[in-house]
Amino acid sequence: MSRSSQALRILCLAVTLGVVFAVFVGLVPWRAELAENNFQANLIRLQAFLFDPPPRAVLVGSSISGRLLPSYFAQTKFAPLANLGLDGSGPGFGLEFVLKQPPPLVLIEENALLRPSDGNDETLRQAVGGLEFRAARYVPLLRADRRPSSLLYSWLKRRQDTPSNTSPASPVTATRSQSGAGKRELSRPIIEELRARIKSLLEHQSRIVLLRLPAGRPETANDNPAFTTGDELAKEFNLRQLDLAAECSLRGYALKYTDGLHLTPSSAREVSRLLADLLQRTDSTPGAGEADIAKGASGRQRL
Amino acid sequence: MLFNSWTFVVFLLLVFVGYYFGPSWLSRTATGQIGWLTLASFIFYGWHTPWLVILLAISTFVNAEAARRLLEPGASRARRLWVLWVALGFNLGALAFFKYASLFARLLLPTALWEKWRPFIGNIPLPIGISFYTFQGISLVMDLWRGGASGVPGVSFPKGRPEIVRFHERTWFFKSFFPQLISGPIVKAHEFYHQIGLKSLGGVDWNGAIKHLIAGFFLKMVVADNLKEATVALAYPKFLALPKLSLLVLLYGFSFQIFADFCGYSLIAIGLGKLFGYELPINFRSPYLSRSFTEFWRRWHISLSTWLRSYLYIPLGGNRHGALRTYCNLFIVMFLGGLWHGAAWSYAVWGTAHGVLLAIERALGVSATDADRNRPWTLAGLFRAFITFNVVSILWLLFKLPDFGQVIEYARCLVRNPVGLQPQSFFVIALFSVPIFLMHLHAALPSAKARLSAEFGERGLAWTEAAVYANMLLLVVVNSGTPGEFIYFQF
Repeated sequence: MSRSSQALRILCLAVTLGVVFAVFVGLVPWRAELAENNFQANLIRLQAFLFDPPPRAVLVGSSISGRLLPSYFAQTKFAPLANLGLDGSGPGFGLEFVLKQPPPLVLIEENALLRPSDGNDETLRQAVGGLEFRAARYVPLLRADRRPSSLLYSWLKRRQDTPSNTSPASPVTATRSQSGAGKRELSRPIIEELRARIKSLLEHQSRIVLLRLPAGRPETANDNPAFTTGDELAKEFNLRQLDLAAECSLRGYALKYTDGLHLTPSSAREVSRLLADLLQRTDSTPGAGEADIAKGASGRQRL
Repeated sequence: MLFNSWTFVVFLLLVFVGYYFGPSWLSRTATGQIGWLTLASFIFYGWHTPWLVILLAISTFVNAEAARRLLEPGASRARRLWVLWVALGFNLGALAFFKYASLFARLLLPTALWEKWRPFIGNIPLPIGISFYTFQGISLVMDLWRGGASGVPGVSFPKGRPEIVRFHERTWFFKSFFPQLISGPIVKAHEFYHQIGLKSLGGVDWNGAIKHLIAGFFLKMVVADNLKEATVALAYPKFLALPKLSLLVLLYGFSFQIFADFCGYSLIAIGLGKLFGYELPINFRSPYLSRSFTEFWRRWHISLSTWLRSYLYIPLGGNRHGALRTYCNLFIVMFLGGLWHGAAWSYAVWGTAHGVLLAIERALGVSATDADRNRPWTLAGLFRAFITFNVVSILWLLFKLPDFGQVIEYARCLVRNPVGLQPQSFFVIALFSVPIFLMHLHAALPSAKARLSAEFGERGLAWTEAAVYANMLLLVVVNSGTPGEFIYFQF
């Protein structure tokens, strides 16, 4: 065997395998909606929003809203809906990307509204600016939703839809740790940034709805100062608010959580259905109808 | 500069093209090639922190001058000894100042004085790779002290200015060669100098280079970087709320991660060395197959353990002065070997624990030679390998949690937390440990390769091997984890 024959064999086989894999993932409809780690899950969501055909609606928030998968909205008139509920981040960070291509409808999670930017956001920002991420726009093989391990994880997760813990625990989260007026005062720069981003979205004719999502146990503005901020922003910009936690409670939904904070897939599906239903009803009120959303969508496509 | 970055890919291409296809004064002469690689190595080293090249240059210059004086034909033993001590003092002093000043000052200085000096001492930066290139410098002077010119094949006393320049050029290249500069393998002078010379593209071992590079990048980017996403939970205070089984699974996950990360780096370094015509020593031989701790140290970070044996254990007397002295030497070597990894007592405890285990094995008459690797597997052997792997994995905890209090807290959690398993981290660790398991299985069954060869013929075996490497390469492209630094960079 010469000193290069095996190397050539390896490289030729790798290219062949790459082509076969690319064709295979191009032909089969399997896409990972979930991933085995937060970073890859966030990449899946960001790439779907930035590279797929422009969505009609986007849900921006933390991992709490990350559970409301786009496929749960597939049969609603809000499809395609993109989910920028980013694990370890807050809505402020997701809105950075939404501003790049604002869709007609923007749903903003209130629960983690005051979450400060941290290393997690920086890592994602760097990844989005990186060569691999940009290449993934043109080479689908490189997209996070085609990673073999994420496809496997997603498939297993969908099969196993049983909660590991049905009783709400008392999780330690950035959202909850931000209680108190003092903390809210510290969040002033975050609120200012949110204000600027909402203003900019409204200038782009996007409709904004603020959402309170169920996250383990009933929360009030006293528990979570982000809700007070949500109320203030809603009042200032005349935004609609939907309290899904309260709605679920009123309707007697027995929601289940994987870890006391995040919804199980079946509960997330229920909440998604309720959200779509409530939004549809909102649309039927004058001035915020389907026509507006459709108009916005076509407008974006022209861009 | 990280091996797993695009910057490095561009850098490597430029260096490779210049090395083999540059103008004739560069690519057709040994001096040109060596100078080119040395320049590239300094750029590589100073890419993120340019001032570091000054430290590397000083270290290299001092060691080269010491080496030249040690080679002087008429030099008396006293003079050579003096040169050796100066060189050792310089190397160990630099290491002590940059790496251990804070640790020892805290230990030795009175509290008031420590508080006064803390802002200065606490802020001394740790130059990346200093532990590795300092050890290479020590190996050079020690080899020359012991054997003179014959201690390092390929070296002779430089007479006259041109030869001194040539000698320096080669020594600077030996100390700075970028593939092994930051995290090893620690190359000894006697393994490397005789290789230095003019290289041609036709002489490149492409098969070896490509296989090492693919396996290295696969271990780092696919295995270690994906495992890292799960083992990140094995940090204080994150692990406090984890159930028992998850705590255990994460410990094994980290054990596989540290192996994949460091072995990956070493394989990449060896592959890169081959691209430029140089053979670097192998650093890992399926260490988790070890049936004793003595065997483990013949399979794990081999370049460090052989360095410690050659330049510390043997000079201390090795096993030549009775059982008690041997145990003491083992203890000292492993204590210092532990401390080499980092300026924290947990590293020293880690090394000492290994030292104690080695001493116990020696007392029990357990020995290991390189030939033992091919011993057939028995049930007792499997049991011993299981015990060794588990103890080694538990001791890795001291690497992950360098604060000793956190290790105790982990042990408490292991006792008091509820039994349970987080499926997500289990999935990650189970999936990305498979390649490590298969690698070890392949090494454990050397006869299987012969049987496959007989079954499918050489050609069939070559295609099977090519398919395995091609799959690894594909996974590097489509299934890499979050890019991150190599764990051993911190040492």
